[in-house]
Amino acid sequence: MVYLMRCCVFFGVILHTLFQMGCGKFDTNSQAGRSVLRLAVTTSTRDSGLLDVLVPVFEQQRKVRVDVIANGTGAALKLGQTGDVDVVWVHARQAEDAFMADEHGIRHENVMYNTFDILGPPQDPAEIRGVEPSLALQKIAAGEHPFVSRGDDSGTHKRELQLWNDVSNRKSWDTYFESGQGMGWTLNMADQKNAYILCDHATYLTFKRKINLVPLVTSSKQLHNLYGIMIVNPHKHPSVNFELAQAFVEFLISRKTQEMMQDYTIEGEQLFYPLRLPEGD
Amino acid sequence: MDLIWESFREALALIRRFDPSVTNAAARSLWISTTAVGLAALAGLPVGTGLARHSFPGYRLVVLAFRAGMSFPTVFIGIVCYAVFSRRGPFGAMDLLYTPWLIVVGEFLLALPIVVSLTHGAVKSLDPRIGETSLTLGAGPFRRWATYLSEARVGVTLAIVMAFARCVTELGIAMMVGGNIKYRTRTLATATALETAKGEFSRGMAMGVILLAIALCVTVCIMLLSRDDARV
Amino acid sequence: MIEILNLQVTKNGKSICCVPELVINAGERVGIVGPNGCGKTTLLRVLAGLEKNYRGHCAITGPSSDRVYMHQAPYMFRGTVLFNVMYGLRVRGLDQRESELKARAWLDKLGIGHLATNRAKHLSGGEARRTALARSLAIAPKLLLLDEPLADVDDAGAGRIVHELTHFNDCAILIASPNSLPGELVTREYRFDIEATNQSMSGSA
Repeated sequence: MVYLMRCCVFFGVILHTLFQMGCGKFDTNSQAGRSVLRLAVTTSTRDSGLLDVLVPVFEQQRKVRVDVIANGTGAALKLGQTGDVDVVWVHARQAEDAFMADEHGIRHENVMYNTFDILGPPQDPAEIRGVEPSLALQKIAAGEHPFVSRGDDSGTHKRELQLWNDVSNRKSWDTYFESGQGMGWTLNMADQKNAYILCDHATYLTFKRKINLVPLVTSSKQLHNLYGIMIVNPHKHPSVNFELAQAFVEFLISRKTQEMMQDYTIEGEQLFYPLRLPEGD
Repeated sequence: MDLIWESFREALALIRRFDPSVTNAAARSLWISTTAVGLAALAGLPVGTGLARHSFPGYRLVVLAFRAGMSFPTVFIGIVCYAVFSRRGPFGAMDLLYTPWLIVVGEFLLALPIVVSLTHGAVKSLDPRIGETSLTLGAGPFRRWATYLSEARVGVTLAIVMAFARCVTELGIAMMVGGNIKYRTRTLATATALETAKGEFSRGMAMGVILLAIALCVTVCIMLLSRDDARV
Repeated sequence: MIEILNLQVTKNGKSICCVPELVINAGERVGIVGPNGCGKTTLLRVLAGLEKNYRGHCAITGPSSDRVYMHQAPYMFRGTVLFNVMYGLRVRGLDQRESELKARAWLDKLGIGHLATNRAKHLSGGEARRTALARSLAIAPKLLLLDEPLADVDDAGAGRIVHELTHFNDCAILIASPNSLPGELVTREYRFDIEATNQSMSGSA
């Protein structure tokens, strides 16, 4: 008898909680209808921390909520294709072009760029310090030094493949590892294995204190990583919050926001280079 | 629904072509999890049986600890293994990080509490006459334990099946300590995660379907092996 | 062979078995008789080594491996009838072939040879009892403790059991039973004295 009562209380609590959650959810969606923006980004963008600065500003200004969905580059684009998000913000120019060509997106804007580095062990056995990126990779391959690749079609991976293609096709060797993980984890792996790796500068700065690897090839146009934002085509997917998406894009390319991007630093270093400032930088 | 049909079709296509990345990952998932569960059974069956048959001070705490252990998130186990075996960890010199062997270790830790707790439950609820009969017929402690496990066969089989199911589908450990390295530490579960991150949803799901098929086959095998045969 | 003096077993403050004196010699067949709840089973269990909380003196000569106890409702292991009867033999290190021969012989003696390959769990009460008896006799014990072995057994089966037990040599047999047992089976009887049990209860209360 007591047992039965306890069961009832238990289930009552569960049901009540679910009910509350349900109520809460319905309120936001139906009443405020168009006040949620769904934004697909890559995990490295999220991990850089830039969104933690920009998104609250936008949310405050417009009194809306932004749902940031971080995933791999491929998945982010896929979410745009299926209309499950309103805006896609990635850094894979060729894939973006294809996205727009297929009319999955209705507006594309260049927003900013950051940089990649080729990191490696301080001793630099392949002797690539200061060398041109493609040549550096060639030297690493020639000497069959340990190298860790993203291997996941991400923006970083695509850039790596581009760099390989600039010299000759990438050959495989025993110590060329294709990790199937995000940038942070892949960087960890490279550090553990004392290997070379192509990594975005932001992630490097975040991990700087924890790893032994150092940037060996840094400044080169070949290592610029362009970020583009695209609004998902509302004609293909009517559920897209087009109005809010437009507002967000305008927000990103506005002077104030671009200056915020410029001022954003990790470990005292600037990370992002805005592309829409009037005088350019 | 298209996604689901598409992925079933994709799964069949992948199997028919013996797609190397898939067969590689499948074989790896199978041997890692089977080894881990095998070791967990070796260690866990005696421990579970012993816990059920003997009392000692602190016994309840031990049982509680193993039961709580069934709820360890795989990521938690992954982090612990990572911390212990990374270059900076106490066992870093063993160089096990990013090898399938460390995944075996992690999955062993995942499987052990399941095997111990469920075996304990199964043996504990056995008829007390079993122990008395075998004792009075002259069976020594090892023989008695073997008899308990045989009589509690259903519960013990369930323990192993559950442990295997948890291991072959887990993601946290394989990702953290294995690194999802192609052709080295990529399991079907981590490959699915990767395909999903790449936006290849149907391919990812196809791998999930193959994983399901493998888990089903192994479950059937385990159950066949522990069937009640009429033969002596 | 067995010597008991002032045996008392209590559970939750109640005395469930009280034996002031009992002496049994090797090879004797003794009936332990008394109504339900008087402590017959407890006495047998104490002698089998399954009850360790008792007061008084209880001495048995010979190693514990020479004693076998059969439950009132015997437990059948998973497997065939043959497997069950072979259990004690295999445990003692006999090889498969030998064990099987001996087991089959005992099954035949008790009239259930035709059930050898049946699943033990599917037997009737009487058949299970005879299987358990075969299981116990096969290992040639020196002390056999049987708890109501004739319950649920039909006349033919009971006849066989009595026959085998009477011709089982070199073994002391204690048979618990609510009623008197046939004279050919047991040489004497030990009756549980309810008054004595009650007395000791009020004495310790």
